[in-house]
Amino acid sequence: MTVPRGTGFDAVVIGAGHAGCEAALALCRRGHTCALLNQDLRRIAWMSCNPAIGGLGKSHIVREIDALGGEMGRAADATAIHYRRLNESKGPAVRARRVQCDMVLYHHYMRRVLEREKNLCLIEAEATGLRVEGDRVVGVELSSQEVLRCAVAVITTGTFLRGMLFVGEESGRGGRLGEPPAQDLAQGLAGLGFELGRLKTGTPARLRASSIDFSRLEPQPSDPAQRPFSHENERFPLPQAVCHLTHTTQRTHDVIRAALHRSPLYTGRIHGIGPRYCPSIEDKVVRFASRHAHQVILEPTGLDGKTIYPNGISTSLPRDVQSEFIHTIPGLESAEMESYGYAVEYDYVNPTQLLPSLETRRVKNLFLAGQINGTSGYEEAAGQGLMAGLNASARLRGEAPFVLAREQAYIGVMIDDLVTRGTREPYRMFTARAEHRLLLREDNAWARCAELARRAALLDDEIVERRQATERELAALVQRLDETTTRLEGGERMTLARLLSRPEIGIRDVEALFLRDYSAEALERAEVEVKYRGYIQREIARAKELSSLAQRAIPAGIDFGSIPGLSRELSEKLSSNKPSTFAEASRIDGMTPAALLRLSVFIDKMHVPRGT
Amino acid sequence: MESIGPGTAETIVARASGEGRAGVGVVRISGPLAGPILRRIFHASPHPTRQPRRLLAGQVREPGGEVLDQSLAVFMPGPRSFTGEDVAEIHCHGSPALIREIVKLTCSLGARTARAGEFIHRAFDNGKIDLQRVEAVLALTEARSPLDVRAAARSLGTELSDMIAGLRSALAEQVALLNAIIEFPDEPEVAATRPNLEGLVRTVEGIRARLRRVATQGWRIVVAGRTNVGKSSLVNALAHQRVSIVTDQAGTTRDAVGVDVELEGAIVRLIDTAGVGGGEGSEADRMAQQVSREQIENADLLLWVGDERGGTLDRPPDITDRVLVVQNKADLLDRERRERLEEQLASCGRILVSAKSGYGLSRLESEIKRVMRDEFGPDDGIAASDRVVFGLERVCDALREAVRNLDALPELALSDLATAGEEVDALLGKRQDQDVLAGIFDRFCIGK
Repeated sequence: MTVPRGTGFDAVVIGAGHAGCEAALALCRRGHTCALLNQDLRRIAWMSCNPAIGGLGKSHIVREIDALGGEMGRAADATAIHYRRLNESKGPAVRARRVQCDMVLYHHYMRRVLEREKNLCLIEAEATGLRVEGDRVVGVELSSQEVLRCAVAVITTGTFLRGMLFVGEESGRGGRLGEPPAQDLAQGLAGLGFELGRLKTGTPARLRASSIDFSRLEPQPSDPAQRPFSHENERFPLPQAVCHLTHTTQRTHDVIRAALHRSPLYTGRIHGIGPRYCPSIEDKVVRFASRHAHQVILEPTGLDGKTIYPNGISTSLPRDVQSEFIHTIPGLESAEMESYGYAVEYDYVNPTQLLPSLETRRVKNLFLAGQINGTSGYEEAAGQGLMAGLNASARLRGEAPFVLAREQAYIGVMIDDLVTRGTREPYRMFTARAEHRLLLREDNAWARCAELARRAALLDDEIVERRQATERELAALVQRLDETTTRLEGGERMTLARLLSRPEIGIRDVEALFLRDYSAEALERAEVEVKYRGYIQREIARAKELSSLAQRAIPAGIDFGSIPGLSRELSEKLSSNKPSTFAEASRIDGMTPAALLRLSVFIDKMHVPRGT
Repeated sequence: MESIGPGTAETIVARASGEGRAGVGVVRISGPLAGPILRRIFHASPHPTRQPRRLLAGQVREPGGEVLDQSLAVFMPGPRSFTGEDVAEIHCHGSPALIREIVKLTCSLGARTARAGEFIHRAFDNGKIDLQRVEAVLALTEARSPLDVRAAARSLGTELSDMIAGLRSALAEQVALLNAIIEFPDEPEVAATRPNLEGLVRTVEGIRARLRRVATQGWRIVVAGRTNVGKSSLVNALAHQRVSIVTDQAGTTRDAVGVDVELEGAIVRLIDTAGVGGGEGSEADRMAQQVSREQIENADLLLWVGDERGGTLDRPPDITDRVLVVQNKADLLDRERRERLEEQLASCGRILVSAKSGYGLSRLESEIKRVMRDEFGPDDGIAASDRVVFGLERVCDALREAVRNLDALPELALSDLATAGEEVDALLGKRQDQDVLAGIFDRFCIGK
């Protein structure tokens, strides 16, 4: 599609990162015209940090994106060059997949997919502001002074909003190494009354592979038992690369300790809050002073094998210190830097200013997704981008919003956490964030999302039918396991399901005897269903119990300040959040069960007629 | 008369002392009007509202100025009070009529009478006390024996609450650690949790062993056996009073007769029953037999009594397994035979006594105590309701299950730990379980 300057679009998406691509694709695939803006079209779907997709909680999100008809899972499969199965020895709810992608191929893949969409227009431009009329957004202003008219807009600016880069004592404006920040847009958002905060993240140096001595390092090959993200894929098409393990040494830590006074993190020049779960190497050395080594994984960023991403040593120390400490790491003694590590500090919009549809409360038809909402991670961004795109489309069509419940999907958990609790540090998904971890598994992502996926209609009918067939096969298999009995050696009769619920019995043992005609997927999922059944029932009961209280309404206009025994902090938070149900109240940061009980007692008393 | 003024919460009033006439009666007022009301009805210099937390003498006067009583009053401003609100107490003379007048007077000034348990409910609402300690207050007000009083007092202290709260944070730590193991599979140095979880199991078992169950109604010791073996004599001897009429005629006791007895500091209910297998024929006899059987079925402990005629052959019925078999009438035996029989009986766990001479009674009493200790926990234990005792046992079960699941299915172990955590929260009343709360608060009589 050529750029029809001066004309309007149904939708404009600002930023073609992982969130923006999903948002734009969802809009176009649902029949809307959409302009997707990026300052540099060579950086579409760019992996600014580690070119890896997946991990605990994150791979679950990618499976959900795939179930709903998003693109990330397919893109990751198509460009994966290293695969690992995490927690294989643990139970199915906490198993996860992770791939490393060829980051350049990933970009090309996504760009091709975008270019194939007939409703989509890729525009290389910087958005400088929003045009708002009345209570809604009507256009996006560009640095060229042009205005793109639109009915809905989605902002997915990543780390670019008023971005600042830090390397040692040096700092300068930038959204990513070598790219300018979005300065005016941040001012525009502040001007519209949005409350902005500062967050920080960081990335390590990139190393020239030819300068590394891999011969002394432990190789970590790609796991041959491949399980792609997408429900439609069975293998990764690309050849697989090898990673290597090394570690920091006492000398590394000495070098870092001696240079702390030159780190912007410790000189107080960075104010933004960084991710606790992904600390810089200087943070690790300070906070875990008793440890003598930290693991470093050397990951190729592409099939050409030229560049290595050293996972575990993200830093914003000065360049000379970076070279010095990297050279103390076994195998990296004469490593050459392709680029140095740096920290980036950027604006985010505290997501309590959003509705569960990711539309802003302040400006109608304006949606935010990704790091601008305080999250970190490509997967988290893509999950939000997809939902923002679907909801922008629902707004255009005048339909009800697309909202996933917490017991349905990690995407539901994430968005609910964001809009009800907000976040003060970069929000990363963990399986522990879900109350119903046993229900939210990689294997049943389709079953959990099917209803919404059908409404979203991003998938071909043929794919939906194939997935439904697997669900029917699974249901039939579970029924068979429940109804078929077998006699054990001791003469005892029991159903196959009961036999399978024993820890030492696996589906393969049962399969050999009785179940020859089922697909591998159905067999594996049936095993999970049966083994988890008792616990899942308990979780469902717990979820129901919680939701019956959770759905209890909190009357409007309640004076939270007059609730006896409630701390001032909580009553202020309640007053500003104005939760309408106990579910919302319970997710307010710092809320305690005792405080909820007091709220509940208070509401009880409001309904008791006085003078009895 | 008009109310003194509206408050954000209602002010409540009730008699806080026992029913009936007594030397002193206490009226307790809690809420924002406690101070203003006390100033209007209690006249003293200095006034208690000026000198909080001091018991001061003065007069209770009607609005017309007529003196109702010479009494003492104390004012405790919130939040450092029992309910966490402003609290006033008037210690007046203990006439029920006077107390009613003072309560009425207080209500005319804007207070209302408190519902059952409302003071302690407010204390709970205001975070002054957790659920376990609410029950301790209940246990203390219901304590009937010196042991129960001391156990309840220990329970009212924060030791048990602290232990449970400690358990809660230890659990939270393990949940965090286990989550870390799951969420960061690449981190090689996350510590093993098995010893920690096993340690938690031992902690819970340790807490459980320190608890003394609160017997909400007296422990029931049913004395039964064939007719004319001296059951009633034994009851009278244990009770140190005449409870049942004793004759040497078989079948004198027809109906079950009960008496509360203090046995080494604990209160037990001794129940005498009609003899089994005696007095066939009449309707009254059959009914007596029926009553005895029901008593035996509901016994916490059965004392099955035989005498020299049955020798060691007197077998208790197969209805309950909590039985002590007692052979009465040791006084009928000469010393040699007595010693021989005693040896024989001891080998099968039976006790030789004489209700008449008192022989062996102290041994019987200490046997009864031993059974009670097994049932209720140690004498110096901390009073705990069945809710707490069984709750802790469920915590322990969930923890054992978590240990079992830990290696192969750590996510199920986390689900188990969540269950344990919920149970612990429930113990402290930190859970949204209105039924549990209602059940506890309903048992308080007014004004407590």
